[in-house]
Amino acid sequence: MDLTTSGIIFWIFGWSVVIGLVSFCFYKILTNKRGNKLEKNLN
Amino acid sequence: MSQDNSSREQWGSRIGLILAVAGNAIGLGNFLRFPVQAAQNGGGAFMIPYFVAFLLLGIPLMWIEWGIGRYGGKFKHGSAPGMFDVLWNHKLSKYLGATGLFISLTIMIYYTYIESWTLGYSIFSIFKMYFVETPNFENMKGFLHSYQGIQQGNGFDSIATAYVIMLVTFFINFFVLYKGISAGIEKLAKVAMPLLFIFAVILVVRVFTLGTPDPSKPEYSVWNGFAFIWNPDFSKLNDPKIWLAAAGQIFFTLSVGMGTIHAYASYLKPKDDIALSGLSTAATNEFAEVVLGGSIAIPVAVAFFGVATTQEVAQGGAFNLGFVSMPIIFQKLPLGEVFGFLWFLLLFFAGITSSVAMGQPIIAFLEDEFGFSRKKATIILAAFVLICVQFVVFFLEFGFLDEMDYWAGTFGLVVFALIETILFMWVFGADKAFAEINSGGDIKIPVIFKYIMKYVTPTILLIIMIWWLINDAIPTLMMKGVPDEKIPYILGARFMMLLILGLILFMIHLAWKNKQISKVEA
Repeated sequence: MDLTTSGIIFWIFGWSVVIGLVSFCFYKILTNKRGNKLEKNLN
Repeated sequence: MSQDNSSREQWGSRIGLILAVAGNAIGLGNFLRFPVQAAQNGGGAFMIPYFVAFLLLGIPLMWIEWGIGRYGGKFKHGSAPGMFDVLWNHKLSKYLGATGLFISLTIMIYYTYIESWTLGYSIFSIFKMYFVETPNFENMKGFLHSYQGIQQGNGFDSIATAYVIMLVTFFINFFVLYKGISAGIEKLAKVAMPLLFIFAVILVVRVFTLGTPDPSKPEYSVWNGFAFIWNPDFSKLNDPKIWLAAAGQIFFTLSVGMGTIHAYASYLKPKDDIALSGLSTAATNEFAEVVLGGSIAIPVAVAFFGVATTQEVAQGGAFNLGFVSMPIIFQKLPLGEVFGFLWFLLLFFAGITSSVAMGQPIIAFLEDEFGFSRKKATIILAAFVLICVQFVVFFLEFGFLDEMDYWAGTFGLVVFALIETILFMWVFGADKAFAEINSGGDIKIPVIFKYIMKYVTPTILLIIMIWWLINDAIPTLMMKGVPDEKIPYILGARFMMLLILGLILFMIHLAWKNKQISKVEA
């Protein structure tokens, strides 16, 4: 069983979706004004 | 009812909260169940129904549970009965919440024991205790069974070692729970989760550099392992079973339908973000599953055993892969004892961050509804779990654990998820629910998700529930194919579960009755 082109495409697809989503989420967390803080720490 | 949540415990930081909820979601299934499911259900093509289920079932349920949890927390409720009571002003609603307590408590009883095996195996790895001259499936199964006390002489003469390690695991779990939300659960997550990711990355790098371990067998290569997982079989997409398997995997992997996410979210303040935090939790879990979980056990198994044997191993289930196949592989790898140690400790971290989450709903219930101190609540829970786990430990070979896992850890999850979705999106109201989830949000959830959560998610849950009811639940209930000698133990497991459910229902009744008396007296 060799890794086929479609196998590589799905592999890249799967990883891209997940890595993209994680990157988006943590980028949003780290760049908004709230950052790592919860409400009680904001004031 | 009070909307002042300030007297309750609070999370220390946002990353700590996300790591704790992600730790709850990331469990043994990410590293053992997912690759098996992917390989058995169409390879790369499995990712299509998998991501569809993630979008239509996983993310919506995540937001629903965070939403219910934070909303319940406003009224000082950290468990499902109180939360459901404020969602639906009806005398029955709190009793529906019993499902959430029952599931998390029942799973905790057996999950902590399984988790202790991973701790034990990490010690056995570093001291090469299961290492033999010619490792094979037979002697590794023998080692596991002797450790579990099912048979003697293949490493252990009694169950004593397993029992002691189980007690150690219990102590760690309840110590973390006793320390509380920020000083216990959050601290654990901040240490265990980064270590889990570091260990997993080390193992993934080792897998990628394995190549073809035995040059005389060129087909036994790690790349063929990745081919086994990722080469798509599009014909399988026509099979509804594959779509249900994907939905089931998403469901299990995110640890939704257990009442644990609600408990964690209840310690948030009303204006804390849940939209982005919920999504981040789901994304972190998916990273651990698809990128890391999919790159260790199955590819390495194909590299050492070939595709045909790996298929057999996969059909034997996740434990077979984790506790039988992997130890054989570690014995064939240079520095295998170190990689074995990292693998099992990784699984232990994945397990403990989930099991403490399972304990939190009951502790919150005792604290919030009975006014118990955290110490008292933790001691009561520890004593109860310790009594119940004896049956799991000593009746393991008779299917006691499997029976609990089916009703609480499989079927029960869907039932609870369906109840909470209907209560939140239909009874509480989709507009109010969607506004609640978006309140304080650092991202704006697209409106389409309101309709997905109201119509699509409960429909999928209903389909899964009916499918499982017909195909699994009824045959399991009727004990089809169960050997006669196991029947008394299966019935015993059911009796214990009914007792747990009955006790929870009684305590809910008592808590609300006490509240009414206090109200009248005031």
